[in-house]
Amino acid sequence: MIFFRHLAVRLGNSILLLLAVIVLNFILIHSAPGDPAEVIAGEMGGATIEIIEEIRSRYGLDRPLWTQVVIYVRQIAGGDLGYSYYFNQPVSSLILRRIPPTLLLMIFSLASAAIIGVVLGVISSYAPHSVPSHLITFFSLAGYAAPVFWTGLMLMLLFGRFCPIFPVSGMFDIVAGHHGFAYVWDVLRHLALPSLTLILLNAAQFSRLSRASMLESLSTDYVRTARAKGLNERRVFLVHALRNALMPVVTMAGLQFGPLLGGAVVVETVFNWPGLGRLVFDSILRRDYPVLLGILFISAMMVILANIVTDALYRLIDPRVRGGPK
Amino acid sequence: MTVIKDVSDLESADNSQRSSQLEGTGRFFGRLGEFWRGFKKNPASVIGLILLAAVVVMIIIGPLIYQLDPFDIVSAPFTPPDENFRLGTDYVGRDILAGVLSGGRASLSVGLFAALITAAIGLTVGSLSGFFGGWIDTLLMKVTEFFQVLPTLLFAMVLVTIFGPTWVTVTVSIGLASWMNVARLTRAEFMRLREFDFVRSAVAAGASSARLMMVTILPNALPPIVVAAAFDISFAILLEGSLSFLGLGDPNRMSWGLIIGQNKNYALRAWWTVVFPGAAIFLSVLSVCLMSDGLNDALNPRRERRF
Amino acid sequence: MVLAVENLFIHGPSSSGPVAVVESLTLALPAATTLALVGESGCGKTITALSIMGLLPPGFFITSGSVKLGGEELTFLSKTELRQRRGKSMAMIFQEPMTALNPVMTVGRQITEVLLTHRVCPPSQARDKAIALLGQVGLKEPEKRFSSYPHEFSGGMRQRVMCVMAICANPQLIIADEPTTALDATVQAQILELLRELQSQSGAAILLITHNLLAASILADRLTVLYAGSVMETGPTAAVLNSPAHPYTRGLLGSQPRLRLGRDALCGIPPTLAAISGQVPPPGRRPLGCAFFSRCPQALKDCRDNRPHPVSKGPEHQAACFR
Repeated sequence: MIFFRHLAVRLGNSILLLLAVIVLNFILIHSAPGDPAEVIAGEMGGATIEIIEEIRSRYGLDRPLWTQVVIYVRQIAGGDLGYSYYFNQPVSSLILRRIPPTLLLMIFSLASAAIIGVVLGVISSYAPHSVPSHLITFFSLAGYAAPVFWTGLMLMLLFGRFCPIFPVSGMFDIVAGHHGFAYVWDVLRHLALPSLTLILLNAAQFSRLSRASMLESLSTDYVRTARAKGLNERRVFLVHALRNALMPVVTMAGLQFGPLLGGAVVVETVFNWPGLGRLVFDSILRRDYPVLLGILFISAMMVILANIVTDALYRLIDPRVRGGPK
Repeated sequence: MTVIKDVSDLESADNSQRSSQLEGTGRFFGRLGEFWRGFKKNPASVIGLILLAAVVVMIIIGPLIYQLDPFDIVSAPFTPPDENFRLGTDYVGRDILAGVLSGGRASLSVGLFAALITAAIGLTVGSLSGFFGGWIDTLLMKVTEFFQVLPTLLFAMVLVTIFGPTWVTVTVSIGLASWMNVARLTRAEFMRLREFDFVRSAVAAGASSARLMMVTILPNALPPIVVAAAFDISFAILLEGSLSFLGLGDPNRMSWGLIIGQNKNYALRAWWTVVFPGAAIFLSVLSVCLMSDGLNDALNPRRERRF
Repeated sequence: MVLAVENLFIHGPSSSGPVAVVESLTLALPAATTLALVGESGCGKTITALSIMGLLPPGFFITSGSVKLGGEELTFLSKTELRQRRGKSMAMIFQEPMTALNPVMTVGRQITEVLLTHRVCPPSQARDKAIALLGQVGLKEPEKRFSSYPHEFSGGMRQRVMCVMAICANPQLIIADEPTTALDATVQAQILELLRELQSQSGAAILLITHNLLAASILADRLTVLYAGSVMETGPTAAVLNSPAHPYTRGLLGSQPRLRLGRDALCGIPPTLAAISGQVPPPGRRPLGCAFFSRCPQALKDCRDNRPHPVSKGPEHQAACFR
């Protein structure tokens, strides 16, 4: 019961946040230099005077401002994100088609990064002042400091020049036209370098966080109790300390979703991955505002969704919050 | 369980009320010496500081000595590094060394000023929220939550696209897209400090809200915020790199991200066009991180290091 | 003797190198009896307990002396051997029941873990045995409690769970480190009563660590008063409380409000003594002579430079004082 009430509150909050994003988009359109109708049409979309007039009447741009807000919100909330005159397609279908490759890249990278990061973090918490531990600290610092597009290009150079086992561009081999299992294998091979780039960036942060939270967990009373019970160190680490140390990691995995989306956009342009990133790049070049604003809206929605999933996952791990907030 | 690092902690471990490190207006140089002692505790911070100084000197003095316009076509495209063009030339024949030297000005100045904007917005929102609490806090935290829902890079990108890529819009956009952490940190510090006796006695003495915030609480709240703001410089440099990589930097100023973005499709043919500018970003960000960790050691001895 | 500690020295870290935290400690504890280690916080009680368990925090070392459990020298054992003794032949109950249990693991699993680790019973019976033990320590609906999480328990209930975890492998020695300090007054008595009951059933020796003389008087057969890492006085509970021979013990009694309960309904506290002034000197800054010298109301000239050795003050009753 408490759980459902909690869920309802969260959903209501999410809807409010989405409404706010729509209003933000509206404000952005109107504060952009130039005629809002032209902004909506997109600068280089080759919009004719008829199209501009049509937009003007459809968005009610000759009516009072507050009516325009209502019209705009109603339109977006109804799933109509506008029309891209450059791509000659509705923005929503344009974006929706690009989401699966991006999600594949993101989820694969996030999961691998979390697993690798936690393993490294646990190893370095076992002997916090040993050489491997310092190496992991250095790795996490380097992983943060290297700009993601540069990491991607360095991997491309490394694998492209010296060790060409992975394709450096695209998502599948168009010429070969694989089917079934061969297709999946082909996509995975193409996924290797872009995801490795994102993994290097994120595993670094996960290892740092899980190291810190393992060290904290290891200094708690219940770990001392576990030792006093005569459990072996492996059980103390992996059963008692790790499960508690995982909670901040789960929280971070959720918070990491937004930055990861940004990283994916950049990495996709490096490796020509046919996801949102390519679309973003092309829309920037064409100043295709409806597409960009649509992507901002959809990505905010994905971040909100990721937060809800994180919250649910957290409840699963921690029995103390399972029944809802106290 | 309190981790006992020193037996003299044994007694204080029981009454965990730690002495707050509230400082009077001690002698400036004494404080500076103390600061330096904390800072140099970790050799990595000192290396970071030296590295940062080297980078700054390089980008300030470099273009004055090596007077080559980074936009000038000086040689055939894709000239590999040789004795004339130490770092080679790019896809239209522009000198990479000139680009790396003058590109740093854009990257680092955007980083610094964006971090200042971040700190200004974050401090204002966080201090109002943490000091007044109540509905002001609820409202401002909703606003913060709202901005956190927008992916930083995408939001900055949309802002720059709409308002046009100039140095100012890039800087302001990065600041607008990344102030939330500082706001939350400031809020937490203000909430914590508000309960201290020295604040209560100032309230009792009839200090105004503005005075309480600016004079009584702020100086004590600053250390962790300064560290966070220093760290944000590194984040802003990275963000500026990504934006100019995507073609959203000021087109009239050379920047590290721009060089890489324009040459990315030829990386396999001409590695030098992407390796050197990227290494420059990497080293700058690295040095800022190490330095902010040193600041952390010096200003907040009890706090966990970031790296 | 279940536990025999002899001439134990423990050193801990400080900014100026290792300093002695516990000095020349000697304890003897036969089966089915309780010894209370009494003293203010910071005098080395908990460190002593942890050193017996082999759980000293990083930086702390046993520098000399001997700790024998059931005749076996513990200081010679390897880490693995020591671990095999923990939970099986010696167990510990900690001060903070709120944090000493793992918050994300069911209470039942935390108990069966001990049963399985030390092969107390076959895995198929572990659950039944744990439920039986939960019932034995007085928890209602033990089956339901078995699959509950610690946050669903009150402090007293958690401490009962800690007791189950301590006794379930039938250890010879139970170390109870301030087991009641964090609990409500009424619950304190219940837990002490439970400990005594468990002792009478199992015959385990209990080392009770407390600063609370009332708790000590309820449970303990013998008292050892510790001050700044050294033993001040040791003897049968009644003798020490009725005729304290050391000024520190008298001070401790004087600062304790009314002792009217306990095994022998004891106590004749000299009403003139109030709280002891000053604080326990931290390790490294202890006086050369008697550790209590700086706070002693009856200090002699000798006390400053010479450390008094324990002298007999009655049957099995010793105190380290020149007076």
